[in-house]
Amino acid sequence: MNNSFNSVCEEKVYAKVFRDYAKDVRNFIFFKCGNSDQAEDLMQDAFVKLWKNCAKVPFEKAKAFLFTVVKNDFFNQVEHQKVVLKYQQTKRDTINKETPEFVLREKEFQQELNDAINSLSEKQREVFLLNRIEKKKYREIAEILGISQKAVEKRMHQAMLHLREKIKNYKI
Amino acid sequence: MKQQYDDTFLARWLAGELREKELRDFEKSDDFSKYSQIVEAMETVEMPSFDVEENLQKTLEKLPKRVEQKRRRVIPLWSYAAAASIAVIFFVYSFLFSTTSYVAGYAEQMKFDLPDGSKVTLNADSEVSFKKYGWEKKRSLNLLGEAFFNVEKGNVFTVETNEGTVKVLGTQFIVSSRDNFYNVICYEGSVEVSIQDKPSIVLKKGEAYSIAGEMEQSYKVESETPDWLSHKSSFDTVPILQVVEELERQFNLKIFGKEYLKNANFTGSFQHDNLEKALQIVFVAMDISYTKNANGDVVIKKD
Repeated sequence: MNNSFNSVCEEKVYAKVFRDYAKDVRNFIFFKCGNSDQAEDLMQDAFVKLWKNCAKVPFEKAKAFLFTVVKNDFFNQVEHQKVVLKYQQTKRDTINKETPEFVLREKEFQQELNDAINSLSEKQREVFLLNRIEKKKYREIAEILGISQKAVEKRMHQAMLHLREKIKNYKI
Repeated sequence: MKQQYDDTFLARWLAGELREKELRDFEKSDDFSKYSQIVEAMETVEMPSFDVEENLQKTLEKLPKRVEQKRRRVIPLWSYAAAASIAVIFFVYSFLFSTTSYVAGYAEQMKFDLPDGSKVTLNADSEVSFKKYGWEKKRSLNLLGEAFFNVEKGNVFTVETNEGTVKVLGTQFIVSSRDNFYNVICYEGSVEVSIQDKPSIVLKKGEAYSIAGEMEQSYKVESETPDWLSHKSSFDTVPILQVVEELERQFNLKIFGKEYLKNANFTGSFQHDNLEKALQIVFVAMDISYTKNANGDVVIKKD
């Protein structure tokens, strides 16, 4: 009788699953909604659901379960909300002298980029951010979203096209 | 200008998957600088901070308090002495652990389908049990007695018995696991038989293998399906004790005096519709004397 050797119902195992995936799940929703508090809440709720269903979810399926649950919860919650994504940006290390104009232009560019990302469709945005920020490969993104790798690449391509079009002020 | 590229070009560029020439041409294009600026700017993006431990604590606090659950160990069905014929039993601990079982009593056969459409026919006094959960991924069941399997193509299909394990990929075969008699016949495809302490054996269509006590045999069969499916039992060099026990199962009768049976092998067959004829075929052919007692049970006479 071999069932999962690690049962998610055991607190130790549950905590490990949490430490492994909580950030990924939270980021995933953050990319969708742009609100870190909301993302955190949804992530925690997904883990609560995991706990409630721990007897039915084998250890190996926990990640898939979490992403499925959080996707559904998000969809139900924010179906008609307009989303504005605001992500923090750090200043690049300025090793070379940067004139005020340079810095200002950079800030403007970042703002435009930010707006352009907001204007992407949710489908394009999440693929784009998962790849550019989370550094996830297309294959993994395909797995998370439940679509083909080709579909991921198409969305990525479209996202880039769209961003380039949207942004007006490029450095020469 | 826009649709020079195919619909995944930019994705492939970002992943470093463009061919040399493609890349060089792209780098010369007007838009290249714009795309590069976008990529560069993305490198400086930072996510809002995330404190794992803090989040873990918050989440743990949200969890509903667990009521102490009584853990019932699921007892393997085959550890019960198969005395009386047992109706289908469901152990319900949780969906994960619940086992489904099918039982054929004496003088009975039972046919049923497994969750993937594979078909099982149980001979008399036999039982199959398995977990429905996760069936498609791991098709593993336990057998007590004898059954004919017609397996759909799919993941490895395993039949476990006390004596050994039979693994197949999609085929038709029979496994008999009775006291002191283990028999596997492959009717279609191929099966792998694993018995403790012995190297595993592969059987192809028409090949069979049996162990009765110390005696091992590999042999061939002509028929396409087991005879008992057509209500006839056939034996080819099988210890007489097994034949007598099969008589008991098929006719639901008690036969006493089995201890007087000599160590002989029987080759022949009997139909399931006529007891007298069957007794004649088995006992008279083997020169075994018997009587019937008041209850209609058969009593073998000591020689």
